[in-house]
Order: sequence, then structure tokens, then C-alpha cells
Amino acid sequence: MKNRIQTSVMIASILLLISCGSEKAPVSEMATISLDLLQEEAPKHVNQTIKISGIADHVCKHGGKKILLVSNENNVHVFSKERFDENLVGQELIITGILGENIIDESTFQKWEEDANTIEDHASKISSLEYVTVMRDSLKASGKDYFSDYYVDYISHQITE
Amino acid sequence: MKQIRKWSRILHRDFGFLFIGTSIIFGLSGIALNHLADWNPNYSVENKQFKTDIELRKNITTDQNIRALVNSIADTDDMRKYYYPEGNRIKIFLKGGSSIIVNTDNGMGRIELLKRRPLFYQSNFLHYNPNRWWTWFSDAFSASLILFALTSFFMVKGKRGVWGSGGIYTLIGIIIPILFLIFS
Repeated sequence: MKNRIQTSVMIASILLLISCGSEKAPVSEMATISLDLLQEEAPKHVNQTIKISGIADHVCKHGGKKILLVSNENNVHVFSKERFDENLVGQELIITGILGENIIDESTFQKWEEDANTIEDHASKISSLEYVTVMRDSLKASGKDYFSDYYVDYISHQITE
Repeated sequence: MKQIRKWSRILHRDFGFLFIGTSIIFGLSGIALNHLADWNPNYSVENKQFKTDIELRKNITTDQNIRALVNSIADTDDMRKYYYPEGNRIKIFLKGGSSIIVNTDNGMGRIELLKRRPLFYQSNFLHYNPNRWWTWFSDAFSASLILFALTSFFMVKGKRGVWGSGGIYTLIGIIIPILFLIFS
């Protein structure tokens, strides 16, 4: 009986471990960005906390920590450290998060080509290489040095009616 | 040694009972998620093609027309939002994750009906570590797995123990992942 009580106390101790709450940094002068105008408005808000609204098109089925937020004109990925509720799909959300930017340039294309060349399936390999060519031509035609791929690091969300 | 054996048996037994449910959850979802490439472990998916004469291009009655389509195709009015991913394509979301995509030029469409897989959906939800509380609980479960492994060395003595057949099984269980790492 004594052993049983001791074991029960040990089990209860482990289960009573309580996690510490995380504090979020205060947010000042938060910009609201239109998803339709993301490419135009984003450059001046990179690395800032912003609000952006759109429809949750899908939650990544592998980890559940990525949402594709869409509008009629645009889309953006929202990344979270915790899993999103799949029930958000099809709902209009206002996401608060930190706007990030990935630079897509010639070095990115070279990396994509290297990755594509490791694909064993011939059709997939050709398709991936063609995509790189299209992107490279598209960048050349744009006259820019690079494309910006914007994303949002999730902080919180609201569901709108 | 007698005390170590006694405590090993007690801990193995009691933590084992405590985590029976969790073991089943993680075992079931582990198999389900190992085969993500072969199936959708959370939902059964049914795709149906259809053709509609309902006008779905953007106009003053779009909302009304979309509701009429959803009623006729999905037999529900539980619609969420919609948007136009391309000029001539509309995507309509239904409650529960189902969706409808229609070519607004020719009315050709496809509905993807999702239905939660009972037991698997819930097990996978937990396996995916839904929040911080579950993180702590599943950490305790993972620590218990290590405890089970360590205590099993001391639970049985004699030819079935670690110096007998138990030791051989232990070696096999260690060699298999090592071989996999070498040859993968």
C-alpha cells in the first residue's frame, strides 16, 4: 500500500508540471495591410507587426502550422509555432503577425535547379526545371534584381463575420 | 538489486496503466501519419463532378446565386466564404472543410466533400500537439517510454531477463535502426 501511495504521488507530481505563460512584446502603431495590395504595401512594413485579412484557403496538412490566406487578387502564407485549428478553413480572418520577406533571386534559382536535378522522377524533374526557367525569365522581364516573397509570422487572429 | 527490481516492476506497471490510453492514441495516429502520402488520415474525401447553369460570375446577385448552387449541389446551406482565385474560377467553402470549385465560364465544377474519420481525426489532433498543456502531458508520456525501456532491464531475472533472451531482443531492437541509418 505504501508503495502504491508513493507511486501515485510521483505520477501526480509529473502531471502537475505547469508551463510558463509567454509574454508578447507590446505592439505600437500597427499597420493594416490589404492582401489585395500586398506587393505594393509590404515593402515599407517588413519586420513590423501588421494586421492582414483574408480567407483561410487551407491549413497545411503535414504540420498544420501554415495557413494560406487568400483574396481575389493575392495570397500569403502565415506561419505559426503552434498548430492551426482546421476549422478556420473557409473563414475570413484578421491575422496579426510580423511581416517577413524572402528574396527570390539568381542564387535562389540556382538552388532550385540543384534541388530539381536531384529529383528521380523524370516528369517532375522537367516540370521543376521548367518552373525555374519561367521564374528566371519573369524576373528578367520585370527589370528587378529580385522578387519578394512575403509571409507572416503569426501572433494572433480574429474571425470576421 | 532486489530494491531496484521491485521499483522497476512497480513503476513499469503503474505508469504502464496510466499511459495505456495515450499509447493507443499515439500508436494509432503514428501508423496513420506514417502513410500521409497514401491517404488523408483525418478525412475521407469524396470528389464529385457537376455542371451548373447558375450564373456565378461577379454581379449583383452573386451571393444569392452561390447559395442556390450550394443548396443544389451540397444539399446544405452551411456555406462559409468564397473567392475568385482566377477570373473565371470561383472557390466556395462549406462548413466542415468541404469546398466547391466552379469554372464560371462553362459551369463545370467539382465538389470535394470531407468527412472526419472517427477516432483517427481525434488521435491525429492530439498527436499533432495541439497546445502547451498537451505538450507537457505528452512529454510526460515520452519520458515514461524511456522509463519503460530502462525499467524493463531489471524487471525479470534469469534466462528471460537482460542476460538471456531479453538481452538478445534488446540488441535486435537497437541494431535495426542502426542498420537503417547505415543503409538509408
